[in-house]
Amino acid sequence: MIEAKGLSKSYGNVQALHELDLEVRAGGIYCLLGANGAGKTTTLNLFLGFIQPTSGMAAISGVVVRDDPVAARRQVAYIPETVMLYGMLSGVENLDYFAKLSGCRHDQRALRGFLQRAGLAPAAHDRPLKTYSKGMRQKVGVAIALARNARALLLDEPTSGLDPKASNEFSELIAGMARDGAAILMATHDLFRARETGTHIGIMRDGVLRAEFVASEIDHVSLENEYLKIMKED
Amino acid sequence: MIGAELSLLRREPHLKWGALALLMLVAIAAWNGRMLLESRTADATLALQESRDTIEALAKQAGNGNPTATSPGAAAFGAVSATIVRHIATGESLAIGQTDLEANFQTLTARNPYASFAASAPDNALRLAVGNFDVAFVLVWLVPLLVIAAFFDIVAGERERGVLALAVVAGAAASRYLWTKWLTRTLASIVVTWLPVALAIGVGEPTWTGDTAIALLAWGTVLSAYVFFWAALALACNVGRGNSERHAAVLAAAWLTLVILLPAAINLIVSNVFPAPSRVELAAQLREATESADRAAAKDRDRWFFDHPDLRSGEAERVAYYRSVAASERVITAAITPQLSAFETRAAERRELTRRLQWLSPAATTHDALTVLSHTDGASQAAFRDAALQFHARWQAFFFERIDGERALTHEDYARLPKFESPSTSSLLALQRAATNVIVLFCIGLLLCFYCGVRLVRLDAILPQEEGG
Repeated sequence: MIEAKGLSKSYGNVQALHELDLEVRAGGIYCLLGANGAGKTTTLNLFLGFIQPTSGMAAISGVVVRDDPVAARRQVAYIPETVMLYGMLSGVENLDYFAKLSGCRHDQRALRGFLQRAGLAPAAHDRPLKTYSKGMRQKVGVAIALARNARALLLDEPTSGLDPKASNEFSELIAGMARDGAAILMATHDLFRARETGTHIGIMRDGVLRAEFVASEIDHVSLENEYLKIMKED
Repeated sequence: MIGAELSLLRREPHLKWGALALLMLVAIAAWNGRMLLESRTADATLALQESRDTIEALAKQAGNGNPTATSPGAAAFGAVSATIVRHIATGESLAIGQTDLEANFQTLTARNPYASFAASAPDNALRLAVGNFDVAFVLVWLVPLLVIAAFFDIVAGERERGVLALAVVAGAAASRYLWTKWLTRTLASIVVTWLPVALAIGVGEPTWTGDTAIALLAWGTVLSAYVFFWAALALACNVGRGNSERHAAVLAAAWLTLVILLPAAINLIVSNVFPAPSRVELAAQLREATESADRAAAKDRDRWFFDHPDLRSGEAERVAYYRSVAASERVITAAITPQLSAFETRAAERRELTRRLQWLSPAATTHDALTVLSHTDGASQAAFRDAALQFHARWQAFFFERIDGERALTHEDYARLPKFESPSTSSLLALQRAATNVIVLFCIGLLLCFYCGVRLVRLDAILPQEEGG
């Protein structure tokens, strides 16, 4: 479970995040929408322990990140906007490398199985990562999460720059992981994908969570209208 | 992680091609050094053989009473010469050092020996600045570039690729992750550096002996310290702010400064503080002393024959002539000795100042260690000059005693001619001196590592990626 209570972060006089309360249960996909600078990435960085909160608490599976960032990170997998990894290594070698860093040892067969589950064709497994498209790299990122058997997944605009087909494939992958019991928090600009994939949707502006919806209770048009209304507020 | 890191290193094409180019240049430089040394050795062997043959022939003729062979004056000032050859140390083909400033052999007669030394001015205090194309030069210049290529983005690149964030999320502490990465790369670079050294010794040294193995170990250790320093410097640069392009530029500037500009500045400083003695001046002084001594000797000779007109022809005149030549040579020696002494003092001062200033540049420190290990440094050359002078004094004394005493040379006298022994090249002393340089390089590297350690611990507490929206 991913949980934030009164989570705030300031940089000097700039309030990057203000009193965020949020909860993502196992099997849930929470999509954070918002313009650039809304506080989405700050939220993810607080959950990852990359930055310290000014006040409030962020927890992963009950472990407060501030108290024990290493233990909290052990529960979580992270897929940044662009999964660069090592271009000279193949998909399977990159997966092996990061799985080992997490303390997970898998044989070649298992590693290839994760890549295949992440939707990467076997022909691509041994190609250098520098020859992969962005979508293929994201799939390696998902395979790393699978290999680590992470119970929480943090995604930072993972579908940005993907073509609709790749974006749809990625969303299906995420949905599959949620069905397997992972709690997923995804920062995105993509309203359509948030509505299609997410179980819950939050709209942020200026570091404040302005609105929350249950995805199944709002249609695409209403979501877009709500989003635009919040963005236009003075 | 170590295996993956090695795999990454193996696949970086710029490193592969760089290492290949380095190996090629090292092989060419080693071959160049070997050819140079073989040609010098061949010249020396030929001259030595010629001297020995002449002495052997004259010895025989002395037994037969040939007047040219029995006359100490004729033998001393023309017929007999001694070829003295400097001992070639193991590894000399790899670091030419100061050896190309003077020949590795000299052919001496009982005349003054200084003409050949006049060409041995210490022109370049630190040969690194302009560089001989030898293995030491190639390694000192190019190894840092390869290290920079392997390390310039060791932290910034990980950040830029998003790998650091993923590694931290995977449970690794950023500092531990980066230290492991750096150590793996450093150890791999050190291991790889031994390859060109082994190749150079294989190509440059015609025969393998125990000394060759010591040279390989010593050279490898010096270069390991050099690699360690550059790897530490690259990490120190990386733990600062900026992206990998900036770090690459800073490291390139560091290479330019430490490998090219500082050694050039050291040369400039040494040359200005202790200008090299002028060869022209030394030659002019020698000529002046010779002419003045010859004039005085001729005057003495004329006075002697004025007093003894009955001895003006035949053997007596020959003996008197050689005595006057010997007297001239003594006068010349007395006149030129202070200049020669000043020359050696100046050379020693230059060496001392160079030795002190070399600590400013790790490249100079490394180059100094390599030339010391190869016995091609200025001090080794000075030791040979000193031994040559001492030998010449014995050679001169041998003939002058017989000229002054009017004693004819016998067959046995030729067997008693002084023998030259090149000053022994003490590997232990060289190793001790090179060890100081290695320790200094390691200490600077360790200091840089300490600085990096402090910075990397801080990195654990800060965001390992750029912050977004």
